[in-house]
Amino acid sequence: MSDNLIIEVHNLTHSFLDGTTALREINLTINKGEFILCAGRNGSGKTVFSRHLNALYQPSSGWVKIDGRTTAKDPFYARRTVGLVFQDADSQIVGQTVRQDIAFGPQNLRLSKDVVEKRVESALQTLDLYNLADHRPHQLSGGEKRRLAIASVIAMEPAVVVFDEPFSNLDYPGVQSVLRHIVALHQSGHTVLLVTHDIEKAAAHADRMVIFDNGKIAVDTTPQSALPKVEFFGIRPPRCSGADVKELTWLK
Amino acid sequence: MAEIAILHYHPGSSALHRLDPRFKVLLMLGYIAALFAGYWMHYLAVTLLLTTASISAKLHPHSFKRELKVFLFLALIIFTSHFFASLQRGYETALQEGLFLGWRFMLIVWLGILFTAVTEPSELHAVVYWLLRPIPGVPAGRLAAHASLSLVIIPLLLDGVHEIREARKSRGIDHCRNPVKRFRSIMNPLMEKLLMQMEELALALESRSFDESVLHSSLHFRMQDAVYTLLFLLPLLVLQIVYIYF
Ligand SMILES: Nc1ncnc2c1ncn2[C@@H]1O[C@H](COP(=O)(O)OP(=O)(O)O)[C@@H](O)[C@H]1O
Ligand SMILES: [Mg+2]
Repeated sequence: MSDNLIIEVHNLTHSFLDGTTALREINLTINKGEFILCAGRNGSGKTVFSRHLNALYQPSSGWVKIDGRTTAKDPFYARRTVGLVFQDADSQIVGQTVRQDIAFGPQNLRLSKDVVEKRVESALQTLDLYNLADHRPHQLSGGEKRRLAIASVIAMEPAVVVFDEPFSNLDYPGVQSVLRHIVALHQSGHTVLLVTHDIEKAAAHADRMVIFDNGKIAVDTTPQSALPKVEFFGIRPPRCSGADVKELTWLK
Repeated sequence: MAEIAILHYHPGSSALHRLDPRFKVLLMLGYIAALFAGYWMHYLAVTLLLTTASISAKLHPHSFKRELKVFLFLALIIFTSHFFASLQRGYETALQEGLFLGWRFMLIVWLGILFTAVTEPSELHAVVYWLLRPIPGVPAGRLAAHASLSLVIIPLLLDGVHEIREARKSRGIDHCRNPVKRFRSIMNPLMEKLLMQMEELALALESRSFDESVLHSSLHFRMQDAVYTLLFLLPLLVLQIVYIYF
């Protein structure tokens, strides 16, 4: 195992109690510091896959290793190492104010009061939420809520951050601000897994693109070589086809 | 997104917000006891005290307007049903008792609104834990976590009702006059939605390493809190003494 490896997925299969098989024999390795774009049509298994990475779900067969430890044996380690930003920001909110919501995770880790405070302050700074610190989360705009969800996750200082469709329901400035923060997190050393089918919005920033299809990984290559194939897997190709991948970003 | 003001925490920094949550619970129990002592002077005193407390907590009644209408309507039902049921004991008794019951109902609703407006779920968690921990064999951590989570769930529930009702209205199917049918037509989608949300919430809690034995608020006894509480209970105590002895 190379030192650089952070996530290893081996023959991962997931079946739900109702008989749906959401993932079939997935194999994937992720290196520290990578920025991976994860795409695929609705129902192809992206959400279920991302929930395996922080041990919310357990494999029906196969295994997932985070830093060499399997999620089955050490789910807490997986949860501390991999932060997951849910698609539905509303159901992720548990605090009564922005500040408390951010503090919730670090408090659960039984960090001292000073450390919790420091982490909350720094997450508020990083995500530009300072002015909203004492607001009620449910009253925030869509983009602000998404930023809160990200702040709450990074306050736990995970090495990997997984974003499940972070651009859904956001307007243009909302997408830009969330994307800017995702890119900044990557630059500050986080490993990023970005689940989205809007490749036009973010492909320029990724080193690698993984396409899910019917519970399997159909494509795993650079965004540039994946581009011609996306339409086949139910992903909308960029408006100007044949474009350079470097053009595919909403950060201009 | 639908936002319903009632039974929510309203962030603030008033004396009432900052009051030790143990005293908040004590105050609430004291007021409820006073209301069941059943003398109109008590009702009046509680009304005045609640007004003072609400003003000092900076809660504006107009933000609860729509929800209060519903409760006023319920109070009216309580009043009329009691009035007619006890009419044979004389018109004046029936009127008076009906009024008191309706009034008391509104006061209890008000207490509930005020308590949830100034108490964070994490504080409730800490109080319930503090109360139950000394009792052997009681899973204090778990029960306390449930108590505070149910406060987190109430707004989700109310928002859900609101959204479903709006969706029905926009599709023009809110004209059903039969209240039972109407209730059912909202309850079914609501329960389904709520179950899904609960599942998501449970996963979200887990992904943030939720630990029910971690307290997210700590309790500190402060003398000024005791004084404050006494100030708000004293009028009722005096009344009770006067009521008993004179
Ligand atoms: N709790 C569940 N119970 C049963 N089937 C589920 C559940 N969650 C997801 N699925 C199914 O698993 C498959 C993959 O879903 P998902 O990972 O959510 O897709 P997406 O790629 O859109 O995120 C779908 O067929 C979905 O219907
Ligand atoms: Mg999904």
